Amino acid sequence: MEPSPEKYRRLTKNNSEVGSYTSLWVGSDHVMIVRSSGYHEEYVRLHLGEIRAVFLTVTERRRWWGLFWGIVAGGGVLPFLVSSGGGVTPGKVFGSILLGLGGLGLLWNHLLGPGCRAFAVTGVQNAELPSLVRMKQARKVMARLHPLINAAQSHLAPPVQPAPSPEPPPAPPPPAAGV
Amino acid sequence: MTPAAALTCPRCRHLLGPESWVDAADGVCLHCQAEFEFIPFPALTAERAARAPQAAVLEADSVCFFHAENRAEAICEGCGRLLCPVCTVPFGGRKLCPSCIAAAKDSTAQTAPRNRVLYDSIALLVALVPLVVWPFTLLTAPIALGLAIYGWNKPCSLVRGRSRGRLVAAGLVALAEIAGWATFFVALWLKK
Repeated sequence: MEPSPEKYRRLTKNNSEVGSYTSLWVGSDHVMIVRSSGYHEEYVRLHLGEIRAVFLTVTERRRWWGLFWGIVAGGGVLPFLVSSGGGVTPGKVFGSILLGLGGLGLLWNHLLGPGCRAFAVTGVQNAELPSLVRMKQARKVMARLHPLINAAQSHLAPPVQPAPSPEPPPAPPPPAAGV
Repeated sequence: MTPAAALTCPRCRHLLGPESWVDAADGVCLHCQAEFEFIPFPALTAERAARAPQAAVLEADSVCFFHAENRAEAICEGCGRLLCPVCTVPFGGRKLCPSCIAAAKDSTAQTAPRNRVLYDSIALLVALVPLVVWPFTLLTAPIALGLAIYGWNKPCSLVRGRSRGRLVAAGLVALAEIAGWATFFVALWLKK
């Protein structure tokens, strides 16, 4: 008899890559990275009890997408610059569509927040979580995962800060009055 | 002492020392200058000291099933054998002996597969896409039907769950294509 399948909850939407897309899911005791081509899925599991830390690093993703949408919007402005007449021309209609599309893209890209890469550190690897590409989204996912990971590691000691910043040097004593 | 020194920069893999931390949650790799946020969990600082096996000194001491010279300190949760610390392996939240792990791995391969082929999506693709260049359906329709039948009892996507809707759709489209070709050939034969 086939064992009852594990129920997974989706943590992120699909993030497109070249020829595939990735997403992040959470099961009863593990996080699962799913990389799919649409016809074949690959699964990477990270057990909640084994995740020692998560790193989030900022990337230039927002800047590059901003540039892309800026070029689209800029392309939409061109027909208005080159046409001399005041009437509605097909070029202007097309330009308006491009301008609207580019503007919406710029706004959407801005609202998504800065780009990021996320890595889960386990005892043997730094596993990238490829579907976490925006800082806002990554923090939201981590807010969901944090209690689950802590619960899975509840039998272990509470986290110790990895490297406390050095204490600031003591303030110089105030100058004595009347000197 | 925290094991923070064992952490490596996620970007350049350079070892992160205590000097890399700006504060408890933020740091910067001194090698590649990558700034990062850091979220630690209890497993980072958990004690991982390896336990050495103790020699059995008394005749009454229970000994390990695999090492008769070592005192038993645990019981395999799979088969109940007495185990020394060397043979006690945490596996999937249980303490198992090596032979139970070997058996567990086989069952794990079934319950926790590393990949899955999505026959439903392939069958639907093979059934629908050749319609763009319809003569190809003479070849692809039987293939799509075969895939729909073959994939009926195959394991499905772990995250999408079992849904045979795509297989049914692919099978119906393939049958319609086959029926179309059959009609065409019968009409051609009757014309002669």
